[in-house]
Amino acid sequence: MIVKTSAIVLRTIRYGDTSKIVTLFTRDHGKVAVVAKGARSARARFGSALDAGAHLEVVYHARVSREVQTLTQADVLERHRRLSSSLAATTAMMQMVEVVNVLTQPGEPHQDLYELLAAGLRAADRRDDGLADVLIAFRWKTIGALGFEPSFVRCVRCAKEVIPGEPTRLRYHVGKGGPLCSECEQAVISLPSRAGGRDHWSETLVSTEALEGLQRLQSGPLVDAGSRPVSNEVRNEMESVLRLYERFHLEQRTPLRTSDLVREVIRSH
Amino acid sequence: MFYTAESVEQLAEHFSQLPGIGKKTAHRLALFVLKMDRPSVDALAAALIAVKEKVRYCSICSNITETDPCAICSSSKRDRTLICVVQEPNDVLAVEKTNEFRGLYHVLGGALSPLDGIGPDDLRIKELLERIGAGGVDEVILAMNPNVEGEATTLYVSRLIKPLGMRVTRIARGLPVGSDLEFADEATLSRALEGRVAV
Repeated sequence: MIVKTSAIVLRTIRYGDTSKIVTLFTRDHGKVAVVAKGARSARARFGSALDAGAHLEVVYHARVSREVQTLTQADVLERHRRLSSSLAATTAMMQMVEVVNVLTQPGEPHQDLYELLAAGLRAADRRDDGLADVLIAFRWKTIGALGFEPSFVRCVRCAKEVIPGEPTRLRYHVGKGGPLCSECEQAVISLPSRAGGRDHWSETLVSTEALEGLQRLQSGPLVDAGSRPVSNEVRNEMESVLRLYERFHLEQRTPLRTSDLVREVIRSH
Repeated sequence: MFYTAESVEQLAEHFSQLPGIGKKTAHRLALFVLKMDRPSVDALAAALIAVKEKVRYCSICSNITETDPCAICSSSKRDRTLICVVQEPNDVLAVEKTNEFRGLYHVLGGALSPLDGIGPDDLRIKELLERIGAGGVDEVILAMNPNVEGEATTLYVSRLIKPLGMRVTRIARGLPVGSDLEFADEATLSRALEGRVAV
C-alpha cells in the first residue's frame, strides 16, 4: 500500500553506509519507522528533509508484515529556520520530539498530539526567550492530549475554585490530578489513603503563584507561553509538579535524555 | 548443526558482525577467504591484528594514529594557528583528500545528540578548549555534518570558543559540485543563497 501523509521527524539513526532509519510521527497513522535509502549521501534525493523536527509530506510503501516501511518521497511542508541557527531553539525542538517519541506507540494515530507538536515546533522557531516556559507548556499540553488533563484552579475534591483567597501554598494531589483547597485538606488529613485520605506518594506542596502560572501555560497558546515572566523558583515548582505528574500518570520513570542540555542551554539563560 | 565446515560458519559469523554485512554476504566473504592463497590470508589476519595492536588515538587531536602525536600534529609543515574541528576520524581523511587544508585537526568523537544520549561531556570538547587555551591558535574551523546534530554541535562549540577571542568559522553549506540546481531541496538551496560569494 502506498501511503501519502504529513509527518514530523522524531528521530533518525544511521543505517548501512548511506541510509537512515527515520521515526516519523504521521498525522494519519501515528508513529511509523521508515528506511530512507541513500539519505546520507551528498546527492540524496531527500536532501535536508530528514532531520529531527522536520515537518514534511511523505510517501512510503507500507506492508503490514514489515516493521520498517520504505520511504520514497519527502518534501518539506514547513520550514523552521531558527531551529538550525539557534542552539536554544534546536534544544527545545529536541525535547519536544523526544517527549512525543517516548509517549507514543507505533501505529496509533493521534491528530491532536500531531497538531500540538507542529504548534510546539512553530513556537520554538519564533521565540527568542521564554523557551523554558514553552517547553513546560508543551509537556503539560501533551499530558492533556493523552487524556490526563490536570486541574490547577479547582479543588479535586469539592470543585471549588482554589486560587483566590487561598493560602500561599496548597497540597497538589498528583494522583487525582488537581489541588486540594484548605478545607478539603483538613477533611482528608485524618483519613487513611485507601479511604480517600492523604497519599504521600503522589502529593506535593505548590504555591498558588505556580498554580496560576501552570493554569496560564495550560490554557494559553504555546507561542505565548512565557510572555509573562516568572521567577526561577516558581518555574522550578512548575517543573517539579510536571515531573511528578509524568511519573505518576505516564509511568515515565527515567528523566528525558534532553533534560541536561535543556538545563544548560535554556534554563541557565 | 553446521551446513558447511564449522570454521567457515564461524568466520561468516564474525564477518556478519561488521556494519552493512548481512548473513549471505558474510558467507560469500568466508568462502572467498577459503579460495584465497595462504600468503594473502596470512596478510589479512596480520593486518587485522596490527590494527588492534598498533592503532591508538593521538593525544593531541584524537585522530587515529600509530605514532603519538600523529603525523599531522607532529608535522612542521602544518599551520599551527588553524584548527579544523571534525566529528570523526573519517572526516579528517575526507578533508585531507582535498589537499586544500594545511592546518591541524581536532576530532570530537561524535556530535551532540541528546536523543541518543550523547551530551557535551561525551565529546572531546574540554580537550579542544584546553588546546585553544594553551595559545597560538588564530582560527577554529567547525566542519560538522550538515544535519541537526552537526548544527547543534557547531552552535554549542562556537558558544564556548567565541569568548576566547579567536576567529570561529564554519564550512560553507550548499550544492554539491556536479549536481543540478532543479533537484536541490529548498533547505540546501536557501543555505546556498545565504552563503553566496562575490565573483
